[in-house]
Amino acid sequence: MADIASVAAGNLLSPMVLFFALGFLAATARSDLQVPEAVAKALALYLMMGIGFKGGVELSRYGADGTLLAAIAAGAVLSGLLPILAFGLLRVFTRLSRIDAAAVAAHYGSISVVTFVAGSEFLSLLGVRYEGYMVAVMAVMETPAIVTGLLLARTGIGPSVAPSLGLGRGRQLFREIFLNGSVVLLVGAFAIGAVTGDTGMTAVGPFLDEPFKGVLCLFLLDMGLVAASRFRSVTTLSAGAVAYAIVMPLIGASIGVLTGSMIGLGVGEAALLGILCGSASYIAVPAAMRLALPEASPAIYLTLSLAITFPFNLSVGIPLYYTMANALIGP
Amino acid sequence: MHTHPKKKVEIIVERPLLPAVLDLVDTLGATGYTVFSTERGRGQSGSWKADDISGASDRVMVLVITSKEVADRIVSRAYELLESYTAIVLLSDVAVVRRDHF
Repeated sequence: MADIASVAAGNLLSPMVLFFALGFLAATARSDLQVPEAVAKALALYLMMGIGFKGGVELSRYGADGTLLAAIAAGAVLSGLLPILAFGLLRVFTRLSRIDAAAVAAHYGSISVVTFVAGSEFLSLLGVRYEGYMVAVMAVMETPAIVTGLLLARTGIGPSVAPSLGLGRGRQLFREIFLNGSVVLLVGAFAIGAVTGDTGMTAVGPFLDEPFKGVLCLFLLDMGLVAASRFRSVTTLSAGAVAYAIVMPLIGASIGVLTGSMIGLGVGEAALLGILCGSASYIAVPAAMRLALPEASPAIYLTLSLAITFPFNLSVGIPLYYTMANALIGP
Repeated sequence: MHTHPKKKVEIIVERPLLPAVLDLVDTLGATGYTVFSTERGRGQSGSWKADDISGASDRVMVLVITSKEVADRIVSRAYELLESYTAIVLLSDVAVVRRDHF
């Protein structure tokens, strides 16, 4: 058990978590520290390109064992089903409306790329190896939750909302869901990494690999700033909703780790599957929800996902999910 | 200098809705538009800021200068389109120098 404590403490004192804390504190103290919006977007693109590419190169190095397809299928199914559980929890334990609950549920079925990246860095620091294909699992998990969330909301809405979603917007929603920029970049960079392999890594590694940790810290600094400004509206949320944002990641991650062990994943992969299931989206899903469910309040889903779940996963969740995977599957 | 009366339509809308608004402006016969990005703001639905990572609560402003007929059509269709969204639609009188541009 002392091992868990030291792993958790090591995580808390990593530059990633500390830079996030720095951003959070700076914004709480109302410092004028800012990361320009365009820079933050570029950093996010860099991180997706880097993690995708590195995953692809890993795949080309070690090849895929039989668990690849099982892991991808499990990811897709979990992403599609977790929102139903999340929706049930929200409807029973909070007073969120059906539409708000459905929108929040979609966020928790989908994934957070940065949580995954932080998790993979955490594993690397511990010297735990994981298969590169977990990046593909992540990409697959981004969208099924959105579809489930929309279905959950739709079952309760009469025809009043449907007509406003005209044909043109239906097409736009389809693009938003299936050709979402982050999915395209993740999958594309993964494919490029897999095709070019070590030659590719030699060529672009100095850009995509070496500075990766530093860029992640800069992005987390910005995440800290954003999370803190979101955190101010936590007081507008009910205690039940706030508790949900911590309990749901724990449940989701447990299901993820358990599923990972059942389909024969190693410790690293199962931990990452847990991290993916425990994380909540704050890039792809909010945009889709604004478009498809305008009645759902962004103040609720963005605050839960950005200001509570993300910091929780970054500081406590990641080491905890790894410990679960380690206990269940063992080295 | 001689000027000509025209209408100015300004629509402030959430960024995810921008393609739908531009589609509407195009199909209703406006000859052009300008899109502005915004910084931050506060309204009935609370405050929002452009640097929210997701971009989901970003707002953009679409500016259209056009004839009275087209402007009226845009405003009423925009109202239908944006009814359930957070948006501001403004219509005002302006004077332009080069009539044939609008």
